[in-house]
Amino acid sequence: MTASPSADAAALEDFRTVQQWRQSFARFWRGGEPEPAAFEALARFVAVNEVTPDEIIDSVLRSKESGDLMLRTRARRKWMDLIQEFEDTEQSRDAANGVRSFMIHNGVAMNPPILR
Amino acid sequence: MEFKQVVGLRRSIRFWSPWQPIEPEKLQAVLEAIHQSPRVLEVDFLRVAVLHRDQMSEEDLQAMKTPTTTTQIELCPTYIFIYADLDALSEATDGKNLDEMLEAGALNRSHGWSSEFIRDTIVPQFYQEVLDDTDTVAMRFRTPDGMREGPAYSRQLLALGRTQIGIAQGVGLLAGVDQGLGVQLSGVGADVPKRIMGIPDSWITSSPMLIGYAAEGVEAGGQRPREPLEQDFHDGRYGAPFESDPDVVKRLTEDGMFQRPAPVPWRRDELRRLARMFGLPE
Repeated sequence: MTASPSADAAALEDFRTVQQWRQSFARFWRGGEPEPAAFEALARFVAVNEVTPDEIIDSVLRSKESGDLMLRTRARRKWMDLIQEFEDTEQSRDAANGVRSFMIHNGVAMNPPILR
Repeated sequence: MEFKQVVGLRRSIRFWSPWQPIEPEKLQAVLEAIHQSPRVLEVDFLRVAVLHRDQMSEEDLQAMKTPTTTTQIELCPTYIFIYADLDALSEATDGKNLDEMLEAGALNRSHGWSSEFIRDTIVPQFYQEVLDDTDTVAMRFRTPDGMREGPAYSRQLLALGRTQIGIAQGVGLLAGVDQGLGVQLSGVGADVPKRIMGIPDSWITSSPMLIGYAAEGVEAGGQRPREPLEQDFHDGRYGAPFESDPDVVKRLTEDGMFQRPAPVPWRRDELRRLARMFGLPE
């Protein structure tokens, strides 16, 4: 947690969902924030998929007329599969879990298979 | 284990030791306890099917998962599915179950029970009325080809069946803790176990009981919060709180029914280390 995020990761700072990730992470874990490597993994993931962090979450959690959010199962499944592809490409569970942490702290539940 | 400790130690366990199966004798002890559960209307509604994770194909295991139960289903070695067979009430209209209870001295003349009362009143006016209720619900089952409609049952009968399942679940959870095991009721995709175990259409179920050795500490982070007893429990009439006597609470605490409240100071560290051990996100 001492290293600074890369320039690409720093560019994500202003996104609403990235701020939400930071806040939710700190609240749940009683302080601290995701590792710089997790921000960098998210930066690579959004670059590979040509999408912003907010667009990812908005594609899964759609606003209803009532103002409530509705989880779109197919979109969630799509991102789960893309994160798994990302894990396979990077050969890194930690990198993929960085992206999964971003999703979870934005209200999109997902888990990878356990490591045995 | 002493009963009050069993009550005090029960938690919904979400981290299991996936490498450690349950000893057959411990599993049997839990099943025997479930089998001794109180029966709704003295009818043998209860059915149980045990499924071991390692017996399942990867595809079936995947299909059984839901968004928030994926990890626990994958970690837990054994699932106990508790069912109510809704056809059991039709089978009980011969009154045999109740006659057995008369013979056993469980149903007594002092309370008005007789073979004649069972045959002429209980069966036709209570059992049959539940079966004949026209307010019915058709069972629907998900299949690889879409939804399939099954038999229809009265809502009263469904409520009785679900009550039976809930009673048995409660007994099963406590029996698991008594065996030193971790337990939890968990949502799963119910169509998968139905298909792979060949469960009849007349059996309804609810959340299966996951059972195995917990990877979490025995406290699992501490005793979970509850609303104050006085808020939800009433004495004599609605709105009159049942007062909790602090001396009784003190005694129950000494006996282990009340334990250190969650979260214990190290809970976040425990969760983080468990997540890392299994390669899970934080």
